[in-house]
Formats: sequence, C-alpha cells, structure tokens
Amino acid sequence: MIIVTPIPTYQGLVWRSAWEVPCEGPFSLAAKVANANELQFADVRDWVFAKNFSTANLGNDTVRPVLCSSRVRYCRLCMDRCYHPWLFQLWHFDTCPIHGHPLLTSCQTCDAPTTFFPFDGRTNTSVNLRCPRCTEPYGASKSGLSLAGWGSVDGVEKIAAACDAVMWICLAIPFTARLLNSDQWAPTGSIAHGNKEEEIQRGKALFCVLQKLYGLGHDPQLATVGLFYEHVEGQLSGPPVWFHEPEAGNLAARLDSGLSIDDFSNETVRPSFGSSVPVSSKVPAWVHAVSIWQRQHHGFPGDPTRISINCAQYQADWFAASKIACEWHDALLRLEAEGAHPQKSAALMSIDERWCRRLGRWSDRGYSPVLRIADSTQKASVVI
Amino acid sequence: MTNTTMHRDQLRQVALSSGAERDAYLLNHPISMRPVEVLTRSIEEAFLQVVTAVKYRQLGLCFQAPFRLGKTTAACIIASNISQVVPHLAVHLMVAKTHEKVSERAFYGDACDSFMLTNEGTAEERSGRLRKAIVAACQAVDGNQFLLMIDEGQNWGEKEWEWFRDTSNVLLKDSKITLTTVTFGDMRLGAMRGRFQRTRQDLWARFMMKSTVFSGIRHKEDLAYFLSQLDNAEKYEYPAGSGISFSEFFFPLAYSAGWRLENQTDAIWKAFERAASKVCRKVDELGMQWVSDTVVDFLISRTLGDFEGFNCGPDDWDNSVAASRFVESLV
Repeated sequence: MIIVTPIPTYQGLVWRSAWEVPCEGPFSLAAKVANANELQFADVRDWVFAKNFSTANLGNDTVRPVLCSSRVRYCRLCMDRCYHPWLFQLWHFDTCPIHGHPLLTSCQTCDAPTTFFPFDGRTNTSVNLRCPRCTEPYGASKSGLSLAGWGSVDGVEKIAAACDAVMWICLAIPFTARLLNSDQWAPTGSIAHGNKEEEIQRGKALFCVLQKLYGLGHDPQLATVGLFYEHVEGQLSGPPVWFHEPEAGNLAARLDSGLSIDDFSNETVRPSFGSSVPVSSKVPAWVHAVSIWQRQHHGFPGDPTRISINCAQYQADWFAASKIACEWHDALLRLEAEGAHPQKSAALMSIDERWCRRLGRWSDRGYSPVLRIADSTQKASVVI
Repeated sequence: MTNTTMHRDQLRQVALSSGAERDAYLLNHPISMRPVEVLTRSIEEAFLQVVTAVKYRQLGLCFQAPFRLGKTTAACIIASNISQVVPHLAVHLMVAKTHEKVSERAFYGDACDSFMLTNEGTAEERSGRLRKAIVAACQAVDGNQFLLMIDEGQNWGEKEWEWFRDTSNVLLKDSKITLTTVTFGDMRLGAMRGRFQRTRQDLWARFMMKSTVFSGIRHKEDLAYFLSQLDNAEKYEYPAGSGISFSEFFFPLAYSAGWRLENQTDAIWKAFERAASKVCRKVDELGMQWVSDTVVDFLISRTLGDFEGFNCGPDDWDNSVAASRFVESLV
C-alpha cells in the first residue's frame, strides 16, 4: 500500500506531534489523544502516562513520585487551550508563568477536588476537560478547543524556560537527583521518612535551587527554606557526591594554581563594598566565580568545587557563581573584540541587573557584580 | 572529477559488472516487483483527470476497466505523484473490501485498518476516528482538501457509499475539508454507476457522475511510450543515483551500442498479434499485466545473451509473450 501523505498516527492512534505543546504533561495529552481517537479518557490515560509519551515522561516517572501533587493543578486559561504542563504538578509553582493566574486544585463551580480522571465528555470536534462531579469545564471557556487549535499556546516559552531548568537540574545536578530520589533521602531528625511534610520540604528545596538559578518567581514561603537547610545540613548519610558539572569541573581543575582575584588587581575594579569585578578577559572566569562564591560564604571551610550534596545551598550558589562568571567573561571577550570600553558597557550592566534580579538574596548578602559603582563617571547612580 | 561523478561511476561499475553485488541488485530490481510501476499513456491521462478534479474540488471521479489492465498500478502512481503537482493536498489510497454481512462498524473498521488506526469502538467512534485522521492529515500538509483513492471500488454497495457520503458531509460541515474520491473498479463499477444513476442520484452525483474508461495499451504508440520509459534513466533509474535505465541494467553492452527497448515496439506488437491469431482473436487493447510480464520475462531471461551486437528475433518475443500467458487470457 502506498501512503503518500502519511496519515499522522502514533502507535495506531490518530496523533500529530504538532498537537503537543512544549512541556505538555500527560493529563492534557491524554485528553487530546482520547478526543482525537474517539476513545474514553480512561482508555488512554494509563497508556499515555506509562508509555513514555514524549516529554510527559518526566512529569510522570521522574518527578511525580516525589514532588507532584496528587491533584491536578491547573490554570483556567491554559485549560482553555487544553494545555497542562507537567510543571504545574510540582510543588511551589503556585502561579501560571504564562498568565500569572493561581494554579487551582478544585473545580471552580462545585469545589470538587480535581482528579486525574476528569469527565471528558467527548464531542465530535473539540476537547474540553471537565469536572467529573458537575461536568463543568475546568477552563474558562464552555466550548472547548477543536483540533485546529491544538498545539499553540501563546507565551509557552515561559513554561519551556522553567521546564528546561527543572530538566537540567534533574539531569545535571547530583544534589537534585538525590533530592528527587526518595530512597536515597535519609530521614531527618524530626521528620519521619515518607512524611508528607518532608516531601513538601524537598519541593521547597528544589524550588530554592530553581529560583536561584533561573529566577522562577518569588515565593514567600522560601523563608522557611533556610531553616530547613540548617536542620538537615550534615545529617544526610552516605558519601558526599562531588559536583561534576562540566563547566565548573574545568574551573575546579584550575583551582590548584592557587590564584585569586587579588592577583589581578590591574584587571579588576573594586566596588565600594569590597568585592573585585573583572574588567578584562585576562581574569579567568573561574577566579571570578570563586570570588563571587567566597563573598557569599565567608568562613566556609573548603573550596566551592568540592562541596558535598549535604550542603545543597552552597552548591546551588556555586552553580550560580560559575554561571555569572562565565557570562561575564564572555561579555568581556565580546567587548574587547569590538574595542568597546567594558566599564561603560550596557552589556555588562544588563548581565549585572539580570543576575541581581534573579538572585535577590545575593544582593542581600552584599555581593553584586555591579560595574556601575566602579565607574568613576557614574558614581552618582550607584545603588547597592 | 567530482565526488558525485565518482560515486556514480563506481555505482555503475558495481551494478553492471558480474558479481554478488549485481546479483543483489538484480533480486531487488523494481522490474522484479509487482506491480511494475512504470508510467503509461493511460496512467498519464488518468493523472491529468485526477489533477483537474482536485483542482476544481470535484467530489468524485471514477475509472472503470476490465481486470489486469493496470488500474491498481495507476492508482499507486497517481497517489505517489499528485502531491508534487497539487500542493497542500493530503492523499490516501485504500482498497474497498467486501463482507458477507454489511455493517457500518465493519465498514469503518476497514477504513481504520487502512489508515493504520486502531479499530476499537463502535461504528460511531470508528467513523469519528477516521474523520479526525483526515483532519490531521490535512493539517499536516497545511491544506483543507483530502484525496481518497479507492481501489476495487466495485466491492462497495449502496450502504457503504451512503456511509462514506455521511463522512464526507461531516468533514465539510465541521472541518471545512473537501473530500475528493477517485474510485477505480472493474466493469461492475460501471454497472453500479448505471444503477445509481437511476435509483440513487445523490450517490451517483457525488461519487460517480464523472466516469472514464481506463485503458491499457491501445496501440503501438502507447506501447512505444511505455518502452521508452524503460530506456529513460532520467525517469527510471536503478540503482538510485547510478544513471542506469531499466533496459541498460539488463543489457549494458547492447545499450551502450545503441540498442533500445523502444525500438522493439513493432516486434513486440507483432508477437502479441501472432499470439492472438492462434486463438482467432485480434489485438484491440493489451492489458498492462501481459505487456509488463512479457517485457520483464524478456529482460530477465535474455540478459545473459547481452553483447554489443545484440539483437533479438521474433522468436524471442514470441517466447516471452507465451510466458506471460497472454493467450490463455483470450480464451
């Protein structure tokens, strides 16, 4: 048989990859698969959830057991687009990054808690996830969404950025892998293993890392995280896991030279609060990174590249420090290639501002690679 | 010498020299496959009619012809190539099946099978799945027209055409998708068409109003055209990228000396006439099966006799015509 225009299918079901929105979770994917194939939601739910259906897998197997809510957490406007990113199921994402609406866990009509078995009320042309009790749609629209509208959600890049961060952390940071793996998570003194509260605390810890690295929003409850770390620090059993992120690994290899940022006084400027900032690419990025990190953790015994997972907060700070330093170094290289004056560069300003905004706590502790303050012509605008 | 020409020369040498690699190419040669998908005048004419039907969004067109004339090959070739001429067109080829007990569920189950979809569920669910597959296919090509080629169309009866009409109606109403059907069938399709014209004008007008008799090889010019395709490496080459035409593959030395299959048109036609005369028949039209079987038999069985001065006599073609069982088809 010849099929010239292949009928878009996936394992015997009508399916177009274009119908899947980036970072979409299994909940809305299952709804679409069911609708496209005139099947019951329950018929395809387990199949979609279990069969590594694209990226839904991460929201399912990796993250859900530890960090996910057992209720569907949804944004009403995203539901109108039949879009439910797996990110919504993670604790501490309380608002939709696209619409800024709170994530809901109950029906807005009858207040019944959401479940993974919605009333899918199949219609011929549209998909509309509904409350199983009152059959009202979870979304704001009554009409549902036809096939023609599937696959596009305005602002999805915001979700994608957050999901990238989570995936990166899941894959690249031993600490987070440990955090996500409940078997490896030793019970803390006062919190019983498997306790719901402990899981929430793990979620908070993950969110803390995410927020520091990617600026994923502000959560007032983060104030508790510091206490949490103080509590668990040093209590986790097992050998320490060293930080092997490639970029930082290279930095670590060069730390043995014993150089510090003070050895580059001609290529740095010293802001009023005392932390040197490179203005020349001659200053190695790793030297800058160590300087940033040490500024955050005065008195920490040992170097930042050999931090055990027990000190998750320190490790997260080291990731951020190395990223700032590398970005800063790249910008200097670009400016030098263009013959521009680094100290007056808008590019460096923007790096500075971006990181300061993302890492609010850093400025609280006194470090900010603010170049403005080192520029004698702009002293009036210095803000620390 | 560029890499491309080097590659082509190496490929030619390997494919045309005796050895295990040539044997492997021989086994997989398109001419050894069935059906032999080579363009004929009739297919070309049918292709143009289908293109016209699609361009003007006609709902139905049908071709009828006696058995073994090349309808299935035509459907395959048209389905394979029409997207190059009509962009944003989704195409599918399905074979109509008969069932002892006609039911809507079985009908849509066949359709789902053809679309490689699960056939779970009720008739309604299956038909919904079929419609959504069509919508998905149209979305994939950024279009709103679906061409469904139906082979063995005589196997469907009034009920099946009714269900299919309903599917077409819903697609147009809900998704603004035009479904154009091109049906190939034997002479029973013509009879059904006549019956529908009298009793079911709705079905007749939608699917069968425009009807054409599909032809095989009608005269020497048709035969010459078909044979010329086998000589033409630009249209049919094997192995891909070698620049070797089908006839050159089997007779490389003779081909290089100027021998061409197209020049055998008279000899082949006369061989068919001699065969027909044995059972007191005349050659009006040749079915593609007998023509292609004759040519394939000739190419494969005479390839060992290839040399620069190769030429074949009437006996060679008589033998190949006999091998095609053409005479038996006339009795």
